[in-house]
Amino acid sequence: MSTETYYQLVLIVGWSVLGVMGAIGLWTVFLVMREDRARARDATVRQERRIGAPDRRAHAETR
Amino acid sequence: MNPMLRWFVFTIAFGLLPFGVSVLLQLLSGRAALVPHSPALLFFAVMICAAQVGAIFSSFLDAQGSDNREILSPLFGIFLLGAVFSAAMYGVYMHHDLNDPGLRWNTSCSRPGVKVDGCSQWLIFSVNLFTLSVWVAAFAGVLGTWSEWTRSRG
Repeated sequence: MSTETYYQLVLIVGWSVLGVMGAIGLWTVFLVMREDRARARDATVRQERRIGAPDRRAHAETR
Repeated sequence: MNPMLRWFVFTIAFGLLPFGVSVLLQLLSGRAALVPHSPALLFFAVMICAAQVGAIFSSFLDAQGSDNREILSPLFGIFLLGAVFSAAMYGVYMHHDLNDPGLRWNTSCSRPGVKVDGCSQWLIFSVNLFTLSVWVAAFAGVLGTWSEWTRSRG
């Protein structure tokens, strides 16, 4: 293998591996953001349930 | 101690120490060239990736970490690949350094004014290797910090 081919091969492999790592990294960031949104949604639902329950009880008592 | 502070002090700062000392010595000796610093940056990348591989592996073993398996698995893969890749690039750099065409004439192509056959090609590859090392180190630093932050908040 000539030196020039070796240099080109190293750089092509190097940048490709870095690209793959970057793509997986972005995908992981997307996964974390999706989980954060799901957690926020769950927290909102739980809070609404907590607030909603006494209101319904109070409404039943006035009736 | 705050996990993020611990990360910055014991991993980022210590990992960048060889690069910092190398740059400082170059500046003090009046030969401010960035290209010879590739191994220090690759060392930083290996250190970050290896630290994250170990930390994520520990997270897999405890109960809380196993809940985040979907996120930790690709991160584990990236850092394992990053550690092997950075170490391989370190090997490429050492091989490249030993094949300096200037060594036949007891000099180095990285010295200014040296004109030996094959030096221009050797120097271009040195610059390319340095650029790649900067990107690998930056990627490892940013993703390692983000991974640490993701794991520390649970």
